Amino acid sequence: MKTLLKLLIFGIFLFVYVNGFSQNIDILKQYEKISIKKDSSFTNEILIKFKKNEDYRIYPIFYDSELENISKIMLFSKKGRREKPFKNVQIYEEDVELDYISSQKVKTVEIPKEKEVYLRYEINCKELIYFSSLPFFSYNNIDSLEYKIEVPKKFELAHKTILRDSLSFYSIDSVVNENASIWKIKSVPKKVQHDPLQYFGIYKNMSVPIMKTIVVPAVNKYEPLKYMNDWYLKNLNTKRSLSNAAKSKIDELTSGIQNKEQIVKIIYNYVKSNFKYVAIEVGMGAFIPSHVNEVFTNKQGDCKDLSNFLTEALKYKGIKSDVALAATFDHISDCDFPSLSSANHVISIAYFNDAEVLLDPTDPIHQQKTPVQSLQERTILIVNDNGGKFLKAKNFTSTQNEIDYQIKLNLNTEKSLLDGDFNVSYKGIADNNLQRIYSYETEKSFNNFIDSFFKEIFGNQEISNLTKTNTSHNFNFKGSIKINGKTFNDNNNTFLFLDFAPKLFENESRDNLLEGTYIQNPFGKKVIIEITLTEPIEIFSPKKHSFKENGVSLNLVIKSVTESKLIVSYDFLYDHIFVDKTNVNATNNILKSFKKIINEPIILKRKKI
Amino acid sequence: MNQLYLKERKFSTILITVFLFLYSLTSFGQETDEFNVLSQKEDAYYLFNYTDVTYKKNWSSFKRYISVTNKIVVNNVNGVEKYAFLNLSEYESNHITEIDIKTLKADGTVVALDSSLVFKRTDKKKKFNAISYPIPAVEPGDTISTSYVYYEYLKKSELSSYANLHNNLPSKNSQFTISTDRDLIVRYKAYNGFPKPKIVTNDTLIYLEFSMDKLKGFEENQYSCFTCELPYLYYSVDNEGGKLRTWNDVYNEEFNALTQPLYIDYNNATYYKRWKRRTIGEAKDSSKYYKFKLLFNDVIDNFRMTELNPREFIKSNGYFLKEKKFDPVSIRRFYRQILEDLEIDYWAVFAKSKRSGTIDENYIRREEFDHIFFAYEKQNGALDFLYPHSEIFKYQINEIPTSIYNTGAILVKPKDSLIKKKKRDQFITREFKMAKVDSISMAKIVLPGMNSSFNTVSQMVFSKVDLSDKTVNHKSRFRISGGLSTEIRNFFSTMDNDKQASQYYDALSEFEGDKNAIQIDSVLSRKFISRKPFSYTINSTGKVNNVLNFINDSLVSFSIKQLINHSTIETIPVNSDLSYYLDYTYSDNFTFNMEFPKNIEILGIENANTEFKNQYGDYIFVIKKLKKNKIKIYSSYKIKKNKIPKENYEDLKKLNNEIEKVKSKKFIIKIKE
Repeated sequence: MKTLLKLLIFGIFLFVYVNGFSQNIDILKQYEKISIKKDSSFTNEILIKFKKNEDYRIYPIFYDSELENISKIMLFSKKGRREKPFKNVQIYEEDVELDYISSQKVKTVEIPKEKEVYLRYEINCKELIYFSSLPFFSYNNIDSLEYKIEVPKKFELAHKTILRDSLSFYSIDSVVNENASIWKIKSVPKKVQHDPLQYFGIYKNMSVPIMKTIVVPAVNKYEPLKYMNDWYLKNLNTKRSLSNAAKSKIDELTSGIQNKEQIVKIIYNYVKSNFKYVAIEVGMGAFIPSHVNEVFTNKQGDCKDLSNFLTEALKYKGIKSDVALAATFDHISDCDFPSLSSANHVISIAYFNDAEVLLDPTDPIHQQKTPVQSLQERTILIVNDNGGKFLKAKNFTSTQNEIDYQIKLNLNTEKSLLDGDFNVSYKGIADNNLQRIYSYETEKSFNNFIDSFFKEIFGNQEISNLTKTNTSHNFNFKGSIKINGKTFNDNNNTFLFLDFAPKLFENESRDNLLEGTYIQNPFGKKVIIEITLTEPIEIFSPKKHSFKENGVSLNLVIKSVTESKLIVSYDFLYDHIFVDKTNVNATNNILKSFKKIINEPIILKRKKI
Repeated sequence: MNQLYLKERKFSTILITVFLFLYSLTSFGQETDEFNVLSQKEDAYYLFNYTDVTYKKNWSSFKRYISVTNKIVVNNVNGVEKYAFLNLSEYESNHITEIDIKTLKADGTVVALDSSLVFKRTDKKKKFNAISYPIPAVEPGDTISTSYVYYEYLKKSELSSYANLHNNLPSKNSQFTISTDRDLIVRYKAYNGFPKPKIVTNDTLIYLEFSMDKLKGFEENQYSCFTCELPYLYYSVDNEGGKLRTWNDVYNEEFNALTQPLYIDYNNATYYKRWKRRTIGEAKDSSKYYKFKLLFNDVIDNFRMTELNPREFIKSNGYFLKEKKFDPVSIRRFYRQILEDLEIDYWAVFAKSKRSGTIDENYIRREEFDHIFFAYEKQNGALDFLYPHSEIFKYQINEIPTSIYNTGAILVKPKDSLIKKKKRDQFITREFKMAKVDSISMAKIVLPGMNSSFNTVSQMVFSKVDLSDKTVNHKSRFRISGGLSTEIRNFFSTMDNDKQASQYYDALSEFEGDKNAIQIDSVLSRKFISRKPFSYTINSTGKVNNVLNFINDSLVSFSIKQLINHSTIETIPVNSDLSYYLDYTYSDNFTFNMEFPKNIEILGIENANTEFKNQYGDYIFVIKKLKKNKIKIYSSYKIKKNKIPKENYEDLKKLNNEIEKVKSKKFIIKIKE
């Protein structure tokens, strides 16, 4: 699993975590008053008015027990203006069970039934940087959501709201008095539902409306980017300076090597192969890495730990390197704003041969100078000595990620049998899915897997003698294939079906793809099927099929080269990482066309002798 | 079974130590290349894996110390990711007495895990959860040394357990030892070739050591059954002079505790009589079996099943009848009350799931059985099985879970079962005393399990092609019976009761897409027959998709890829290390009729038929033209044995392969004017 700085999006994630799996609660109004203190702490007073309900409800309050303090929890009803507190309020506290060690807890409050009930509580946090987002979505039914933010003159609030258009109502207003600026934001939050399709790699509604925030000192007009950069760099610097033991290991690994690219490769592979991924995120440990020497000694860490160590190791060998904050493809937003909520990942970036090379030590299959799969088309925030910078991560084009199929078959019409060999080679990161499976499965399990994989690609035909090579981290597969029942004759013609032809999307089993399907990377597929015939046929003019629409194209040609040789070839290009609403129709139109072609027989006129 | 009731007190503790030392030397001195090759192929392997349990008396109860000691050699990065973690259950985390985890680096250095970090408490009152803590400094080639001891307080009835030396990783040597104070005895029984122990006794202890070398690692799958083929041990500890548990004890302790009805809340108790009278109604003079059926049917039709609520644990049957609900315990008490009330002679049935091993008639283990239910005798002496409803599924009379099909079971009933009982023997009253029987009748039976003639899925489709619309409409009948009916109804009942599971399966279904050619648009009728084999039939109409491809007015291609969807036993390309154990044999039959409005000619049907048979299954595929305008397809998959030995795994693959070959077939249909 890729590293996640989950605590960075603590509030949002936990919101999903609980509400996504529990009851929907009807809330009339939610009001949050956030007061920034002069000592760089902040307080959030929350008041929730629940609608009447026939049943008890359990309302969860999530918080970080190291960073935040929950107090003044009060449940009351109103009689006129008078608040009438409930006695014997049931409040339970549990650790939030996550797949990593953290300081996250949840308090659950039992909301009484059959009354309009108010819940008030206060959260105090001593780390101002932790105030990083205001969500405008909910798994509950909230009629009205209001935030009030008081920012003393000493500070300034910077913010960016994403997907504002998806809200039916949104207003923002600010006034400045002599002591503070006061922001009022009202909205009808977007109701979202937990989508179990995410378990299967379909990310339909990943993006949600949210305001990303950062509060910066007002003195000298501190730019948010520079503030965020300097804050993180200052913290990183306290966790750097390699020990002699670490230096000595790095020297040993790179002994006698001068080429910078080679040195990066050695150290990068060393970290990927010898350091295991582990996340222990307690309090500020969710954001600030462990010391590089602790990481080196324990040979473990999460993305920020391993990236910080890698950066230090590269710097030690004289290679310029920085740490960068990033947002992976499945994060709710891009890392294009200097706020903790923008990022869920940390990587390293090395500079050599006039290039900026992204390195993700938590991605076991990533090779330097190739795109980091999870960060394609995402923005990263490079944390450096020059105030930081945003950089758009590039991806390979569909022609760089090529999958090449060469299939040679002999047609025996009497036995209705096609048999022969195939050769499949991958370029770029087209085989990332296979490489990932190869990295965590045993040899035996992987062999089982690829056998089934190619069987499915060829429409469940008989595959044998499958062999593989993995040169320069690209797979090449060779094998034999037997295809039954796809050809037969009448008096004059031979009918040949092509539905054994390799399917267009190797990792997808559906006939049409759902919006939100994660394709992983752009790719191109070139297929050449050469069929040698036992009986001569009349040469026919090539049959061409061509489709192109919105970054998706297919060119398919069926031709008789000689009286006894037929070639079916197609080029498929897919220039998207996701199937989204802009390309879902184009994608499925091409899939439908391809299916139609392979399900119609080619009618070959037998040559009369 | 072996009973250690050892009188000899010859050996000293020193001798044990010497013996262990010498044994370990011989064990590690010899290695075969075969094991080396095997272990290097895995992500990691055990150099050794020892579990030592020690039983001691602790006032009126007992204390068991469990010591786990092992060394894992990590071969590669995957091994580090999977095994460089200290994993402790919640119980273990809270009862650890000693722990020592170290990484033995390939360069000879040692890095110890600081256990104070693992057991860091933020709240003294709060218990630890299950722990999965990273073991530091582990790199490929390193060895992880693990040693920890935890304890349990046990009642006398809990002094028994299982042991299995196999694991998911290969192990050069695995040992399980039992030691007790000298005033306790150890009984044990080995299954499937579990090794004989080396036994040492002296003045103060009894010590048994079970050891196996060069063990292969096994991964479990949905069809494997460790206890059916891998060696395992069952043992129990008792006071000196303690007697073997009898079925009489089991009846009193486990059946009575679970089924004896309560008579505590008097108000509700009388409601039972009123309900019974009302439900039986005019049938009061009919046979007791008929009356029972009426009462049973009322529960099936009108009552819901709920989770066990501790606050309702001591409520009488009248309470549950009033509330129109039962839970898994109250339903047992209710059945017992009506059986006794109607004076129907019944047995307690103790059964064990097939995948938990065979029930042992003589050495009655704790956790020996995981199913307790009723069997009542009918007038003709035959037995009807009455399996209590679970929280989510209501069993019919004679319907039992498929996991106990064809397994051995023990029937027990009091010798005087036909004598009318006094109220205090019939009910648990306010004195909270359970009834006890002094003598029992016992019988060993094999529970019924239906064969592939009863465990069936069958689908018949009659379809008509509309050439102008280029559509195919169908009328079809889907019928499922036997164990398949039990499982499918159970699955849908689970979906109805579990919103999350239902959402998950909906998402899975959407993700996978519609792979079935038979689209159901409307259900015409449903019929369930509550008698064995519990057939469930659905008649429906709809469309047939993705089968015909209309090329032009006179040519249609016909694909059966999505038409045939048999419930096959999944196979893996490389042979399985373990045999496959199925709950039952079954058959899956599909008949498809398609009528064209015009005469047709079919290309490709010559030699298209298949008839494949081996000792484990049959597959038959027949396609033929009927009259001048009809096509009929018959496809039948049958599994004939409920065990497929690993040595014959290839036979199952061949069987499945035949379906794949058939599904790959295409035909051309020429439409004639």
